[in-house]
Amino acid sequence: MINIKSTLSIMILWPALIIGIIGLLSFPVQGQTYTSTLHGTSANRSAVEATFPYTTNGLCAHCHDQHASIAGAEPTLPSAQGPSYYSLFQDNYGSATNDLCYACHDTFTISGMTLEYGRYGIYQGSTKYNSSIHSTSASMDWSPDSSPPGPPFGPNSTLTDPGNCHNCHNPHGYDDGSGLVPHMLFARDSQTSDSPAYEMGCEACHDGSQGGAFKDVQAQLNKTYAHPTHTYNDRHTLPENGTSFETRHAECVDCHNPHTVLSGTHTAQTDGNAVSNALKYVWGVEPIWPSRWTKPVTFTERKPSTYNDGAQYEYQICFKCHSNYGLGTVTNGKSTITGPSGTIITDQAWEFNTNNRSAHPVVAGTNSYSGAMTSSQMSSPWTTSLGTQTMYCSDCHGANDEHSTGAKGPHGSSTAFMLKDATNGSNVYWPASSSGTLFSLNDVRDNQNNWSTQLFCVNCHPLRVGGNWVNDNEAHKEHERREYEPDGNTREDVYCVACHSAIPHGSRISKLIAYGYNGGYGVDTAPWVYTSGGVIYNVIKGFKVASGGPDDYDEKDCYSTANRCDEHDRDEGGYDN
Amino acid sequence: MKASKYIISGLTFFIFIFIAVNVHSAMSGQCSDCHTMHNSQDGQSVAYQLNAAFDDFEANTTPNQYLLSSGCVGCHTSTGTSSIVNNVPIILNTSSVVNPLAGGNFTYVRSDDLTGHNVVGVKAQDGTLGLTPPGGSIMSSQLTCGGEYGCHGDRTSGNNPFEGLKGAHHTDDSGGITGSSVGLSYRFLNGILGNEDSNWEQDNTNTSHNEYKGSTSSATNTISYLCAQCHGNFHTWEGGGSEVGTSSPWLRHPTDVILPTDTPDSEYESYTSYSMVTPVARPDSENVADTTAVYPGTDIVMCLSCHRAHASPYYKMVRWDYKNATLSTAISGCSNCHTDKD
Repeated sequence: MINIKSTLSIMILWPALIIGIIGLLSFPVQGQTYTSTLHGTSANRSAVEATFPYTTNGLCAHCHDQHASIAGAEPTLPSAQGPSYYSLFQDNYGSATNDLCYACHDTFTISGMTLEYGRYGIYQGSTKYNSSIHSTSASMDWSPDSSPPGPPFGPNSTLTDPGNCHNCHNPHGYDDGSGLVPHMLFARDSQTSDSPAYEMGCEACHDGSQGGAFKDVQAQLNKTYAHPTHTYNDRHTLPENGTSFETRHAECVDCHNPHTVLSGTHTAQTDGNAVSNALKYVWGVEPIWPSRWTKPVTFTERKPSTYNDGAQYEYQICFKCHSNYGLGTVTNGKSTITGPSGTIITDQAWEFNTNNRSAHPVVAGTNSYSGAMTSSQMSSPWTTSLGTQTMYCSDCHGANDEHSTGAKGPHGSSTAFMLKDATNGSNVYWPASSSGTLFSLNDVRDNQNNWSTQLFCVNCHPLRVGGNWVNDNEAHKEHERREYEPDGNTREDVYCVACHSAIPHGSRISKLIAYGYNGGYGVDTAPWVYTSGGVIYNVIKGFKVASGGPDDYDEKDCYSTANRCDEHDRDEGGYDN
Repeated sequence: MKASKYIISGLTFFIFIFIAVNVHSAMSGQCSDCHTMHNSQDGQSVAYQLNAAFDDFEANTTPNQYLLSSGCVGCHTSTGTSSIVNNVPIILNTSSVVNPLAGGNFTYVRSDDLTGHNVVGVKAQDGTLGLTPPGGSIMSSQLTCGGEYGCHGDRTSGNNPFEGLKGAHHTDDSGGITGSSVGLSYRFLNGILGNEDSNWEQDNTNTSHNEYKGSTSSATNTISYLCAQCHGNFHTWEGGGSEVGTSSPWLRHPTDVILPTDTPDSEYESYTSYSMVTPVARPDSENVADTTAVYPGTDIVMCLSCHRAHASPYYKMVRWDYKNATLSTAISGCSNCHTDKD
């Protein structure tokens, strides 16, 4: 017998219940934001104004005097004023931009909080913020962007106030339909697939929509070879350290501090490797250097709370993620992570270790390694202070279009390894050209494989000038139009990576040489040794720097047993190991 | 003949009585409920007043103007706890009050200056504010119920509450509140419009409540305009652009402005059910489609959206406990309108 009641309940009630649940999930309820924020739970002016009549944490009265009057008078801290916009107890706009915000976030001494009350260095007080480009720029005003969630002052307000905290932060918290946006921002951390994808608000302006000084950083981050800013969201947490870094992330605020950022990027060679304006006051890590070609495991965290200015050098910011500090598992200098260029991400603190024999002068001048190059081996501006000059990671890594219209910096690039262009998109390839053909000495000698417009190295290292090898470099000159057989098959070119490291950050061997085979002096592995299809292209077993300079190399300075390298097949000893 | 005189006299008496009890005045009852011809009955004073301890009434040998038995406070005070006694709205219960009326109850200000208006006859001058109302200019005399320094009655009649309210209680208001006289004004607030709840909101339900007049211009018939006669800096149109502003961003919390609807997060649009904690004024207080509803975009923020007119149990006469240690309670009124701040 059919139970009508049961049948009806199944037919009607359950579908209704399911639809109801789906409905609730599909239409998130907005509201209830303020009391979930730190302002809504912690703000309390009575903590600093003993006579203030309200003591309940989060009460509106801690910021708003509804009538600009309590007991017939304006409250006295920080100074009695007339009525202020939004019924605030202190002016906060125009000539008084952020004064109310600073009352707590700078002036009041709140128990348990630093005077420059902020969290974990992301906010370091009004002095630094007032000097930052986000404070001083007349363009720092979200109002022109009509897209949601702006403008921040509400559609009924004609108020605009460049540099005001409210351009990015909502002091009541903001519900974007998916709940409270963290950090009292108007926009949450986002992925490309999100809509809108404001990336914590940064890309509301830095998306090319505002013109002027606002470069299109968003476009760079959307490129194939990019920091994974758009790949995930909500990984950035506070505070961060080596432990919480296990899920690596590259949000805007990992490299830039929006409250301290200054205008401009660095000038190559002139500025050495000091942290640039765009990265000012971001925290970083300084390795304690271990012995050669071993893993740095100890780092000094350069955080603003300890070091007032945070990272001193750009690489210290990069090392947060590109060293054992943040890479997680690192074995023999290599992480378990494959980057967008298809290569294992290496431990760059391992590579730039000042106890290695060679490295690009990112952390120290080349005098700290096996010696400096000569000025004739360098292009401007790198022709002076050889040995002591230093450079930035971002002197090599950046966008493929930095010299045209693209935003500067290693946000993203259309070419692998985010190698920065020399002029309008040129010279961004290594170790192979855009056709995939490995660059070789023959390319340089015979002007082929588009080496002069594609080979990245020549941005700084003029290999051949006026039909001659620079410095009459014997190591280069003697290998032009030569053959070698890394795998039994004759190559009629000697590739750059036949001798040099494919990841030319640093090497245990001088001159960024890598050993593809063990001849008693140790062996290097991929990705420093270039391998493809099971073939190891680097055939060196031993190398030592010529005592008389680049034009003084002879066969004994190099040791290799590869076919066609017969002149180097004897172990003369004394090679780098 | 004699009989006919008695008949005529009797008819006249009954006609008089009939008219007396059927006139649509603001009050009804025996004349002697309020008046005394000679302030004397059996050799004793009829007039009365609150005693010095404010816990009982005492005879007053000094007769009152208009043959009244007592003044405003005397008539509208009870030593009990009920807020309506013999259909008289009680504004001061000397001990405590149950179900206070819409204006609140002066019993609170008796113990704490910070909770109400310090009205002559109820409480001495405010110890902190003196004679200066917040947002206004110093007055020459302490606040009274009516008259030049009062809220009720004709404020141009001099510093005399009796004179300012003369005749108001006997006015026939069956034609509605027009504001054309004190007696035809909302709660005898001269010129102010509104719709009076029959039990002064003693039942405190949104199905039966006062309706207040609001306006988004410099109208002089709104409840907030009346408040602004003393607290002008707090009123949008009296304070003006330099004190309150005329649009967002406001300088002080606005009054007599429409509850907006075009905020991006629908903050105010979500206030749709009339709350007795945070009432709103109406542009046409006599004709409200659904008095249980709030109409953002039409209805108006007023002083009484947050405050009680006489006194409340709470700091600054607020309608809810804005100083409560629990935030959700403290902002429970704020969040009725500011719905995304809850």
